[in-house]
Amino acid sequence: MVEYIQIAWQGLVSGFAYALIGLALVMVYKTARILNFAAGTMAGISGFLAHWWAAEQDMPFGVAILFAMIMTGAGTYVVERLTVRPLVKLGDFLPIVIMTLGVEEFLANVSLLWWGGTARRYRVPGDIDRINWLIGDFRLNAWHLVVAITTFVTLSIVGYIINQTELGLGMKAFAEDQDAAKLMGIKESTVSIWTWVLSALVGGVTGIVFAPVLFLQQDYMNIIFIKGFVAAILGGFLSLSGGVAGGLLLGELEAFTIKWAPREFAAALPVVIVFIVLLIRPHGLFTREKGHERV
Amino acid sequence: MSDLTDNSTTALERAKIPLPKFLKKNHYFGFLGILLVYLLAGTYSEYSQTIMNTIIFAIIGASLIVVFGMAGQLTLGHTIFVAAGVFLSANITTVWTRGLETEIPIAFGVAFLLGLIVGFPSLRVNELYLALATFAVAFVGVQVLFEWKQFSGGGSGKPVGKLELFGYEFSRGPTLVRIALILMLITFWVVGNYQDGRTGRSWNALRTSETAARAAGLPVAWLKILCFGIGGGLAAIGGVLYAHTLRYAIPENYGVALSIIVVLALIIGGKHRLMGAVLGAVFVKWLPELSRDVQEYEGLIYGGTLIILTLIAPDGLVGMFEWLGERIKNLKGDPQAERFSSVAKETSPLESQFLAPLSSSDPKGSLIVRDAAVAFGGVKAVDGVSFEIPAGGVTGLIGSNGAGKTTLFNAITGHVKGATGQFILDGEEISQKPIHNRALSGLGRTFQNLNLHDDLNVLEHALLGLDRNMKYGRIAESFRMPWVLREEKKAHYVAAELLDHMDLLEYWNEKVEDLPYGLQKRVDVVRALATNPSILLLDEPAAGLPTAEALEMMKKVQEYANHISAGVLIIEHNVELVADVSDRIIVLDAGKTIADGTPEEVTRNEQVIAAYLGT
Repeated sequence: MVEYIQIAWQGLVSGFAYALIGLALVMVYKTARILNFAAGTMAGISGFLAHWWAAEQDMPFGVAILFAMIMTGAGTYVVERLTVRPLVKLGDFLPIVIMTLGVEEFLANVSLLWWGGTARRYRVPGDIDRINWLIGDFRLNAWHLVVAITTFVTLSIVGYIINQTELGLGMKAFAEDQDAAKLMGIKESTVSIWTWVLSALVGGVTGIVFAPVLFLQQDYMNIIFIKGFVAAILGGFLSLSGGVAGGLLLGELEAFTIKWAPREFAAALPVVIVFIVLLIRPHGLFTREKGHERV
Repeated sequence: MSDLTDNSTTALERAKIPLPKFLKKNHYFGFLGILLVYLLAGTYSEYSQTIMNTIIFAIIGASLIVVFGMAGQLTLGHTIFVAAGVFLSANITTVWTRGLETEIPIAFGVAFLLGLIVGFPSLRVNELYLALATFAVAFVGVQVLFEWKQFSGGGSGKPVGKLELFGYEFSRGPTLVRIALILMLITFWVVGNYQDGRTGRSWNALRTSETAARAAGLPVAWLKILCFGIGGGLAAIGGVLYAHTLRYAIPENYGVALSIIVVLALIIGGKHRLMGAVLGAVFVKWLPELSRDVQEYEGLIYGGTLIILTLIAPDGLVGMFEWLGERIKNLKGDPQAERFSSVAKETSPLESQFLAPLSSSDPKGSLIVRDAAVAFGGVKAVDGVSFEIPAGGVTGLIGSNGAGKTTLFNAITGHVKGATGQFILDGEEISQKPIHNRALSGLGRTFQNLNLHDDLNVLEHALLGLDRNMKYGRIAESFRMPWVLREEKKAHYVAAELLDHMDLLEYWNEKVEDLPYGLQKRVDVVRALATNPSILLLDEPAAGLPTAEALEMMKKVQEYANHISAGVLIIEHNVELVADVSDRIIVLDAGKTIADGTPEEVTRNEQVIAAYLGT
């Protein structure tokens, strides 16, 4: 029994990462109908910055995180203005997707040049990630608890922003109907940029808290990006809570598949899930199908 | 202006539309280029490796043109096909000890089938999801290769055997380059043949407007899956060559990174032209050769170039060169003078040898609509409409905004989901058929908001409608067999006459997005007429046009409909125009029929006056 709880907890922790990245992807897609392929790399750079500053530049951990978040926000602001904004007026999403691919390639290589390709494992202050509590036979890693708490705090903040602030209202309006929102006098470029920044910050938090869990390799967030995308698909890509739920579900599925299925299958699981969901319920597991093609 | 008296020539000749030929100018240039490299391969053998890589990337680029450039399916999982080629090659050469004659067909076949599977989600999701789904395929593909040790050798990889063809062993280096060049020539020729044939035309159509492509009767679903199959198969040929160049197949080389690089290379080069595949490959493979510094910043440069090109030249380097060429040409003379040189008109294109056989005295297009209903959420847009249209008649469908006219059209053609009711066309029940099959059964339609194919010219729109008349198979098309050319030529003649009839002949080579609105409307009609429909469904053909122009167009449409004895169902707001052309008018209000009769009856009906014409 305890074994299963252990596996479930492991799945939940991975699920947190997928849920956060899924949330970040859905946020931008829902408001601007753009898929940001650079999201994983951007999150990875945030994580690298924070841990690199803390471990190698002797910055206090909290300050390093703060700086990394500021850099993430500012960097995203610049990237959006320079690359995405000029293409929005074309009204076609394909060039924008290609653009984010270019940004991905560019940023991935910047980080590769900066930090090199070797994997490293950064510790966190006080070696929290090495503390394990035993509750009966159940082993609880202290850092995993931090991850869980951070996830809940992040989700609450995002929930607050979306439900209680003007930005959130604007995001909802654009998600509902782009043209109507514009006619109501909501400025598209303002909503878009702050959605991008918010999304990048969520990604940044994920990158930072998961760096000690994973080996910090130049492309360590890519795998989480893929799975975050699977989470978003499970949730139907248009539902924020669906994305989060999809992430947690994927984490659990994965944890139990590794336990019971051969490794080849466990590796292919995300794609298998994507294919099944797309074929059976393209609108996601949690949302109802809506809308029709206008001709 | 040619002489007006000469009635013997066809519209095609008068407009100087070139007929499709077996060889084009591009073929000669391409062949010369490849021949040059072939001859020089031995001289510069120190560059064999780089030349090889360029050729492989060009082949992969050409395969991507099929999937992405033509069909518009952004795939980021293209390397799994390359990987399939590489590892099949490694296994065939070492385990079976067979040569290229076995490797290439098997690699092509396996990757083709794999492509059909990978392409499957493209039926269900939009391009954005597809990009990510294929990205995930690439990502997981490598992991599966890692774990499937028997096939791939796991992390340490698998050696590739000797380079053989029918038992003859070849040395690598320049010989391999020459073999690769021949394969590249074949690949490019095949892809080029698609570009010039009906498959490429259909792919272009579905890229630019899937809705309209379906309405023209194209099997969009099959075309989408097929592009992945063919693209995958061709990429696997690149993979076979890659295996022999590297001599060692390691799974981790075929991951997402390579997938992104091949896409970037093609976009940088230009995704709509074969030359783009070459330029992209040269850019990606020769830049690092320049110096070691470049090598270090390779990815940075590719990413940066892509960002800049996407902003300034979305069609890549080829697009940039073409644009420059155009500018230089324009400097020499007035471009407009040449562009719209009008073409003398025949007395009647309908009498021409190409359109005359379509003439029929047997009226068709009897349409029975029974209890048609469409609901969006709780709103009943169409609420139990029933009517019967006799064959060959012109029927008007009027009603205020939101009365459900277009929705009824969409229900008949299948463009709206969840429509209920029965639709019977010429005695054949079409209610359960998919859109393109309804079109093939004889429904031709136009669109209220002009669903044209940007990037395609006017002639190609007519050819799209004629697609169903071209019976040649796709394998024959790959190799441009004589009957392919024969049917293409015939379709060109018919298309030209049709354009002549609709007064569009002089614009045949114009991209539709460059045409004025009134002409675009006519192109939409031409595409529908070219399908030789039993009944023509016109959705506000006159909207936005001056009445005179609208009447003129309607006259032409009616002439043609009479010529082929097709029925016409027309939605129009301009009541005078409808009353003028129709034998009968059906009036919709709030999704229900409120009047049905001759124009005189309907315009006098009080309910109609209240609901539609106002007080």
